[in-house]
Amino acid sequence: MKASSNMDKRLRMFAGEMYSACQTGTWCFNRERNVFYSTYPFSDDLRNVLEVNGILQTVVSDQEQPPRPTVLSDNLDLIWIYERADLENGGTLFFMVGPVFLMRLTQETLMKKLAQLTLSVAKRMKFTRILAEAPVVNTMFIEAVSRMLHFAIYDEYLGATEVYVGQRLSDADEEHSDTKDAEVKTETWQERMQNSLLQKPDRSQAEMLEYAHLQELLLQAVRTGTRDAQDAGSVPTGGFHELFRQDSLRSIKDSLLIFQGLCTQAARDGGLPLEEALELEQRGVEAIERATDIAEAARQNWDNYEAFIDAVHQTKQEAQQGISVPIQLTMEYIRQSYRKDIALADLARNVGYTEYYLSRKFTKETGWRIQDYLREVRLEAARVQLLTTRKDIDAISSELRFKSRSHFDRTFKEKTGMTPAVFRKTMGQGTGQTKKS
Amino acid sequence: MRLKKNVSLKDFIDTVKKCQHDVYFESNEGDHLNLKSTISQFVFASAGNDEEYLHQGTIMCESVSDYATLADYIEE
Repeated sequence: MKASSNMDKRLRMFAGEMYSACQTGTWCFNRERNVFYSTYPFSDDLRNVLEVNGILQTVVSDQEQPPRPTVLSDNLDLIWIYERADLENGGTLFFMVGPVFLMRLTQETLMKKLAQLTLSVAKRMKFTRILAEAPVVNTMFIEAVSRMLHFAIYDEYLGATEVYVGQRLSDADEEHSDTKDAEVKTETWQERMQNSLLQKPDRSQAEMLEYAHLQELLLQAVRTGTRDAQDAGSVPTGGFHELFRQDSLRSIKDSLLIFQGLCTQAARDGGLPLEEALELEQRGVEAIERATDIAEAARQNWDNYEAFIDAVHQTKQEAQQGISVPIQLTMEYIRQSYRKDIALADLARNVGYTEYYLSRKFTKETGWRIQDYLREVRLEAARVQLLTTRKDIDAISSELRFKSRSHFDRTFKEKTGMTPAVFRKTMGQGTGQTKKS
Repeated sequence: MRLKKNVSLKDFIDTVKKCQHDVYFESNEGDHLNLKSTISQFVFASAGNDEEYLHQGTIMCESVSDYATLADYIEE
């Protein structure tokens, strides 16, 4: 199967649409791992990360026939969707969308870990922004983007089941954190589950009462957001999996799904917003349903149970880590409205602050003045338009609210080292050539 | 100890993962990273094009034996 003849134009449109819709970056590179272009604002920073964490190597090693979109997660649980494009001339290119998060909890956990690092102000602000602006999406989005990517490359429709979910690229023994917290190992958990779950479910009344009590303890841990409930002795170690003993995989899954529903309610009781609770439940349900054996179903159930506890725990936290919700909302407002004139009064009204307070808080949390952040967002949009459209540069300048073409040229060159015209000529030459980006 | 020039960051990080104990990178800007932490690796790797940042920073091993493990990548 070969890529469609007008693939370049289709991919550039695809990239522009991805960025326009959800600020998701699209990358193009060859088997030598040379990046031809990327619409991701922080591509220079992440290019080396992709090399170090093995994502690029994994992608360019793809030999699957026929080519199909593949979803990968890296060791930070950032999600990437890629596909190989086999060209008519025998060459090969790779197109990748990302990074995105599948759960807001993952994003917030990473931001919290980042906040705990000893970093210079500039670095902290940059990486906070990188993590804060990576979109949080759901599995439907990932499947849809995968199919769109395949269509853009091959002009062919793909069913949802034809998207390949690759392995998570991570170390089995990771989580040497800077605070030296170690994560629970799952191998022992899996072995226990495998040995115990497929036993006869017959229980005496006394056992039933005991397990009802155990279930209540587990749910109480969710309501209170109490971490390490087992270590604290409030939940009997090893008792968790006993709750779900059944005589078939389907029966076990059904028990686990019911438990996930109970966790959702317990999390709501603990103050977790409805949307987040439902999102967690959906994640757990999908993961359990996808499991092909008992150990995997049990592990997914346990992972999601802990995710519920963590989510409630964070909700109960007083101090904001990283960027507060009002400032995130302000950044979101700017990212959605940058094509219009934006008044500080509008931004302040949007979050219920005075203009003075919002300005100070924005700068304090992000390191940016609001007008500088707005300018950055517009310059990023300009970069994407120069790469993915043939729009006249004067029109881009006007649309993005630059005072004049010369002002646009000067500002753009300050950021990228090139004027818009030179940038477009250098970076927007198409993807069939072998020159390094 | 400092990172040698022209080494592969990927190979260096892969070797750090084999070290027995923690390995720290301290930059001239005041960054202090435990290179065994994934979030720290993320920050460190992103500086791949910043020669000055990487090679003027200091590499410190919690265990002396790990300096031998990293010998191909670090120097005085």
